[in-house]
Amino acid sequence: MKTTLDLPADVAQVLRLESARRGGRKAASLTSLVSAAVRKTYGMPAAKKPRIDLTPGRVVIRTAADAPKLTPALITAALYD
Amino acid sequence: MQTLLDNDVFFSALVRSHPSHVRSRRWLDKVKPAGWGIAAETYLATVRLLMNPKVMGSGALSAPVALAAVETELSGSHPGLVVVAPKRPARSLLERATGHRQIMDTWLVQIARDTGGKLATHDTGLLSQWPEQTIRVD
Repeated sequence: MKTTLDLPADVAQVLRLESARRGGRKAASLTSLVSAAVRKTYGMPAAKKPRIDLTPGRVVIRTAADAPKLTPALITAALYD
Repeated sequence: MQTLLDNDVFFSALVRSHPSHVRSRRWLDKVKPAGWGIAAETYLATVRLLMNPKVMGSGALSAPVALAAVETELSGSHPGLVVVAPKRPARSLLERATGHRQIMDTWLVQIARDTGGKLATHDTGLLSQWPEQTIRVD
């Protein structure tokens, strides 16, 4: 998601210094620093992964916890997405 | 090949949270020894669905993983075929479609017919419209 943050000068300065300390914007962009700080501070869980049983001839995929409830209408709509 | 699976049967056999999963999985395991397959269109539709966050949430698969899932299902002791349509779309069949969403279903019916099999489906509309070319998954 693209958004605009109006950061206080001291926060922006800390972010710039931290980015520089880690090797600059390519190595540690402001976006990645803010994202990491938010995850650490607010304890946001990492994205749930599906579980996939890849037995030859018998694959079963357990969808991630946040996957929508599957219905024929949802699948039809997704196929025409 | 005895049975060509439609998109819903194949996808639901793979995905446990699909409301038809148990039925599709059990049925597919039972019919595999007699010969089965999917159309190339169903192969691609399944990969698309497995990669779609609107279907899979944050666990949408990457292309390599989605392809591996489909290929692994097609492997095993009773491997499935990937059928490329042997003939061009038959006007006589497609003209019977009553809406745009029936075109692909009718095309799968034709592929099943042209390859000497029947299309396996949950779709009651398809079953009633094409009783000779379809088989109910139950």
